[in-house]
Amino acid sequence: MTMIITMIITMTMTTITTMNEKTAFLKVVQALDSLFPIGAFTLSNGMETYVQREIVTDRKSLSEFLRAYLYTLPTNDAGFVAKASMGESPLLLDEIYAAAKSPYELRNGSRNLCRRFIKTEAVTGQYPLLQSYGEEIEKGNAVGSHPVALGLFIRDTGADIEESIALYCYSQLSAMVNHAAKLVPLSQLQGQSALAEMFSEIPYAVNKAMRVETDNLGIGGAGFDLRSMEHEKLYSRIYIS
Amino acid sequence: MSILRLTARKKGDQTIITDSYFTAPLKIANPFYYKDHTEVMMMAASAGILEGDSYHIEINVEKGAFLKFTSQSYQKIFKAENKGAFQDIKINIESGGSLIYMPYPTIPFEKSIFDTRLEVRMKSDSRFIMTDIISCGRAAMNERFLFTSYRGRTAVYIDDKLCFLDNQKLKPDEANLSGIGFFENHTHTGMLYAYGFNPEIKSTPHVESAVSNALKGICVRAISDSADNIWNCFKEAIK
Repeated sequence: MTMIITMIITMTMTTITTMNEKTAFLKVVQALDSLFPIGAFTLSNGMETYVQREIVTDRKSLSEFLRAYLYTLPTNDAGFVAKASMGESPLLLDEIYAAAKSPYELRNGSRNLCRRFIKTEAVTGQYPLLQSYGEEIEKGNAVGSHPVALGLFIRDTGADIEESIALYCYSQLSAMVNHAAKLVPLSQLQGQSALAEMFSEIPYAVNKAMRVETDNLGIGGAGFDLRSMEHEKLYSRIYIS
Repeated sequence: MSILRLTARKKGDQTIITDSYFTAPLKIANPFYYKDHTEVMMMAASAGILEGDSYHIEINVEKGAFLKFTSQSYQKIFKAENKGAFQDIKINIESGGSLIYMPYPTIPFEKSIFDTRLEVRMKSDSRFIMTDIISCGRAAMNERFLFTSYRGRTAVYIDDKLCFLDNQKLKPDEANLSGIGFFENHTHTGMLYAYGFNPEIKSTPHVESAVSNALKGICVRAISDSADNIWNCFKEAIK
């Protein structure tokens, strides 16, 4: 009898956990949806310069861009998401993020996304870690970093961290593809095939992001930084970074 | 392990060097005294950095002192079998102190392994400017990205708060470093960081450069096919 009750309880709990995890993951999907109203579509994160300088001009150069970008994600934005979602101090991560993002538009863009993200998620549910990070930003104790906010949100929801980071990498690459498709321009089919080509490398990036050491956070590429800085002086600009 | 330690102190209108201490192969040349600052040149009595070398450099700039720290020649990193070479630089600039830190560019030779750390601690009224130029190898011999790994981390703290971080890891076997996002078909990259100084970056032939406001201070990034071009661009800016 006791055994049966225990079994029923265990089964029910497993079902609830799975249900919760699935709901939690959907929350992350919503947070990373390009239609989520935090203004991510206004940031090209340097892509606009790459197109204007005629470095990204076709399907082949877009693939090269995506591969290099994905290579830097685990020590950069995806690494911050991973660290925050695994419980590293958000204030420490925020400090490293702001210091490492020397191009003003990248730092400021992330800060704006972060603030709107916290504000928007506040109407979808209760997220204590995210909320207290928002309070630190308001008090001036933190600058505001979108990846840090997202990591705290993942921790609050209890969503699977690795799946969430894979989705994060996907959303970053997908945004880049869409900017390039509009700016170059490229056909949507070429863009989507370049994006799909990167899928096999995402699990490796996730694995690296999960194991990134704090000391290695902020490692990026000199070219990426240079082009982001150049964006401030571009003659005509559609995007704000 | 080689050590180089020195302190710049304000004495009257001049900056003098006190407490200088060094062990082979590192040493410092006799300082040059200028009207407003003093220049110290670091020298190494060896052809370059060898496997197993470990350099520890400490520069302390006291209240009101103004030091310019340079090096004598390009920093060549030689071939290594396993652990490579390590360099640790610690800079402290007291209130009202100024430092121009401008070592010559670094050349990581084929199969070299190098890890270099620079930590700067200063006050909100200190002034600091630094440059860091790295090549893809012996570019003149057409040696491109044949080193094993290059790791560099520069962290600047103002009033104990991290305000600037330049974190680099170059591993040619992991990424196409000559391509997009990294050296972008050039052989050299350069970084200039300034706080309290106002360098003016002029457009220089054969150098692609851009400047931005870092969290505190400004950061300049440059790429070029010549270390000298970036060096001259930065030198002009610092003048």
